[in-house]
Amino acid sequence: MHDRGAFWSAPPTWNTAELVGRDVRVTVHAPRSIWIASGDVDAVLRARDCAAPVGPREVCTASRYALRLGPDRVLLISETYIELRDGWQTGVALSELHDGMLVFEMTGPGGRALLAQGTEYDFESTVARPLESSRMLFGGLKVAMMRRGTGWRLHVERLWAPALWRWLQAHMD
Amino acid sequence: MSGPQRTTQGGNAIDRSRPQAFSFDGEPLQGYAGDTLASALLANGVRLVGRSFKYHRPRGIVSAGSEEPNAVLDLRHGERHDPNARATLEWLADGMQLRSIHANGTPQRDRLGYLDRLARFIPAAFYYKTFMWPRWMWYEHAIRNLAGLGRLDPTARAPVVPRSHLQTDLCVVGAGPAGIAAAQAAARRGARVLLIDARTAIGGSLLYRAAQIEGLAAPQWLAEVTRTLPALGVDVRLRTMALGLYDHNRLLLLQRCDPTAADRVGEHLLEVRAGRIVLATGAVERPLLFAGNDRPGVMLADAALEYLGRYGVRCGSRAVIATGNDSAYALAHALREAGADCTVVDSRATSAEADCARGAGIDVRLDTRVVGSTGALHVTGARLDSGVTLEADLLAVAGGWTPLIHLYCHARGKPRWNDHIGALVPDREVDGLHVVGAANGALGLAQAWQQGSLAGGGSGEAPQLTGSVGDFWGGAPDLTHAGSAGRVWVDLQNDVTSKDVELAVRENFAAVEHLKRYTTLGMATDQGKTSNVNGLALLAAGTGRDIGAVGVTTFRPPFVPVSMAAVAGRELGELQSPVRRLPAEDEHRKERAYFCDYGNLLRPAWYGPDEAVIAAECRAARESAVVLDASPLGKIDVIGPQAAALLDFIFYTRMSTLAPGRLRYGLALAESGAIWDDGVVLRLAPEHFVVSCSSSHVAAMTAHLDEWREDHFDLRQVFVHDTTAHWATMAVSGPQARNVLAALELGFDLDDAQLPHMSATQGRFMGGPARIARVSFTGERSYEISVPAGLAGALWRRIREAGALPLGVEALGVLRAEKGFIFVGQDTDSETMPQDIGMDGPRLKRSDAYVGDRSLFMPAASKAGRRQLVGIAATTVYPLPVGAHAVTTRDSRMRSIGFITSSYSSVALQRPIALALIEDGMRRMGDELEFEHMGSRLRGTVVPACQLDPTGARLNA
Repeated sequence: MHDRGAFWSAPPTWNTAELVGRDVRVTVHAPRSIWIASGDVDAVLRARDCAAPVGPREVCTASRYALRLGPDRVLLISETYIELRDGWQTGVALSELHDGMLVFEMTGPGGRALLAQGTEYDFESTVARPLESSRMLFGGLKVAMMRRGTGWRLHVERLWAPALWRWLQAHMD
Repeated sequence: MSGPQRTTQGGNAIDRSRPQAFSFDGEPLQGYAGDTLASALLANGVRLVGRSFKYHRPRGIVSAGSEEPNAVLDLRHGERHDPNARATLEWLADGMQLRSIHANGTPQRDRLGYLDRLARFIPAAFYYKTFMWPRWMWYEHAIRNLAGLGRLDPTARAPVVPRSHLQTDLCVVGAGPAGIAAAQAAARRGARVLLIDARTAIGGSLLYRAAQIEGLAAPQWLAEVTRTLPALGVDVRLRTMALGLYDHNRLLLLQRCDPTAADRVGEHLLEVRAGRIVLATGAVERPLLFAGNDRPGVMLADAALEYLGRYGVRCGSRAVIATGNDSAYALAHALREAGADCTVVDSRATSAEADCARGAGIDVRLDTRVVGSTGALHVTGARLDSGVTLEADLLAVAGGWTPLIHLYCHARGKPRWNDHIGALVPDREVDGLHVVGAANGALGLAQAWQQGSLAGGGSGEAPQLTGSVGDFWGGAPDLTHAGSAGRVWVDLQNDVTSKDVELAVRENFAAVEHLKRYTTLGMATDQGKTSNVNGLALLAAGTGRDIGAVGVTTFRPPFVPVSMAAVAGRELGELQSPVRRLPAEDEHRKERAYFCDYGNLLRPAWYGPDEAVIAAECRAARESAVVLDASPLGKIDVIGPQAAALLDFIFYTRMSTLAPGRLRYGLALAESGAIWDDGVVLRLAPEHFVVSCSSSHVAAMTAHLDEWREDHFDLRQVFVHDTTAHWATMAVSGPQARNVLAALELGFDLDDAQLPHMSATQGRFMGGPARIARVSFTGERSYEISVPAGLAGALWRRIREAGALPLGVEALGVLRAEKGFIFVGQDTDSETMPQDIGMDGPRLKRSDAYVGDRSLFMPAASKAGRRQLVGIAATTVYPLPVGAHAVTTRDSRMRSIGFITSSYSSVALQRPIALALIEDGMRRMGDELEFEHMGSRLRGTVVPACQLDPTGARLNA
């Protein structure tokens, strides 16, 4: 067996990691709370002052938002702490995922071209798809995508985050 | 001027102000920016570009596009090396080094040229009949050395170019008149339009054939359209070729860069998802069938016209144009204008175009055919059926046209034979796909425009157009002299002659697919673009059928060869098949971990320079305390009122009877009853379970749970969340494990009465939550501590400071094998059922339904001779090889009765141990078995799978 530690480059230090390309910049965003909720999620979102879930096409600027993962499943993300308890809460299943996800913030006019290398998703289409999941294959990895102003946020599982970071790095030039 | 054949004027594709130096077979030459390799070579008078595949016959450039069968060259440019560059599809750049391929020596003096004289002994399929004795492999090396095209240079590096995706409402493939009409019409209706073309400019045949459109000459009209299309919002991509058309209107495009540009980037693969697709791919000309039709200098008439119009290259100064249709007359006029002598040999009795040409002073011979060519390394004359031989350095042939319907066929479209134009055209419509223009057999410019416009959603009204020729298509292939003396070449790239087709028919390979494989007609890298229809015509004639009844072979992507570099894009090295990474990887690197990939996970195999440390890690686990980073173990939340019912259904062991705070080991079965995965289930609360499955099976287990949830349960009453990434888990194991835990101060009671084996509790670590579970995969007292992944590194450090030594995955394998704990997939196979590993209880006791239950009671599940899991105590010094077969011998015939699944050197037992699946293994306890491995015989004794601490006393030591 060969030491594969030499083949795989060491993961970045997340709290200082940054990628800067010609027209695009990627940083690591650190929300305070991330939860996955399934079931009657509308009630949970209303109670937590969170707007309706968004897909990959809808622009969102709120500091607390929900990404649609399925018809009855969302990823709830907030800049401020959300008081929740995991388990069964009358019609809703909740699990904390704060440490399980990393959020990459992509800004700059070159973002769209970079995204086009990773996904065939049509961000420009005007056809409304209200139940579309924000989760998609991006660069071969499962990523929950959200439009943030003129940029994008890429939500990825922590274990795959180094792979996504490496992918972004390689495709930026 | 960049070569003797270059005209002083003309050539709308080249920039005469930018000369480009290159070499061919070491000879320095010069072309212009915008030249293709083929046009640059022809401009320099290079006629012989290589030797043929099988007979090593001299070959020259035949065409000007993707259909080129001969001009495949070795190309080097900077770091780039393409051993099979098609000269008609590559653009010239300063410093390019070109070499002919497939000549032993030089194309002029090929040492293997003698093979041509042996042709009668090596016809089509000769290799199916010879080289059979004594064995094909005796000859294989020599034959393979003779065959093949360019040779790869393993040191060369292709430019790494990204792939990207594009979405559009309409993708138009081909920017000829029909394609332009479609793009314009669609863009005017507000659609997003992508228009692609393989050339460097839009226009298709209008770039070199005269026409008047809307009162403008073609060049002026094209200049206007080139300006207005982007203004309409049409995304025009040139140098771009469609390689394949796939399901749901997905197109794969290859965009080539301009190699003379400063920022050249090689090839770029584009995946396009289009609402609709218009194929305006045009048609390619067919060669004529006569003896010696493969000599350098025999060229498609349309190609000769394109070289003259686009690149200012006069392919000959004494030309004979052999035709059966009107399309070739444009070449006669153009060559004459360029100062060449020209004779048209027309097989038809009359033609208006002939009269017109005669009026212009061109020598036209009607009702006459070319029956052969003369010359050695290039053509010197054309022999006519009238007995006359005309001197010629260019024999331009126009044998009719073949619509390019490959992409239509990729979309499962079926072509049909159109007798009127003598070509295969699209038959039934394919949803979302429109084939227009010459690709659809359009009879002239106006009809092509009309089809394009309608496909783009326009009115179909054509502008004022002139320029169409009368009898453009010319009808079916002319076979008058296909059987004449001498060899008549059908497939130039694979050296297939008309006699080869006759031979195939004689030997009853008369179906089109059989013909293809018997003769290799159409199987070369040009996919038989110039040869298929001539081959079909010969097959039809040989079998007495109509061409339409012969059928066609299947066209498959890619339309033209594409480099592996373009396919790979940037998905190389780490990006090719990424792995998951542990949150505490930094800590393991500091500990000098030796990493390996385990099921898409990068994990420490051991800690130290080499595997010698595995024994020390095992010893530490049995004597003191070790810590294993078990973070990838599944942590799948199953939540809701029906969570217990779902887990009862998924697991072989009932989970609904678990009390909160307790854990249970369970097997998950496939519907076949075979063991699919195993794991531990923790009940956190009455309606909240956590499934801790195999590290490499998390995604599959999550999907498995969700699938059965959706199939069997109330979707509002149970939910499945994969939270594996949120939790980092460190497993502390060994006789001193409790002391290590005590030092961590996690805030829970360590007393065994409060936290017995297979129970769990909650604590705190660095202000965050911690889950502590007493569960063991080593057979020692063990604690699995799970904390939020952000605290993984800190927890690892604290455990190490508390005295636990690091344990890698390899040592864990030894420890669990000593206890007889299985790795599903390694110690089980697709037939292993629970009773085969000694877990028969639930099968006999449970009466409720669960996945796989029915299969456990099929006769096969209880029959004698099932392979059962046992331990093997080896009598060897070294471990038995994994995969070694236990064998019995009867009547000197050896039979396998099972095999070794895991094997190690046990430090605790001080001997090799193994696990094995052996037929009726439980009944063979104490038997000594013989194992066979690659010719050697080894022995071992059947023992229980658990070879260490069978009572489990160490769990509470």
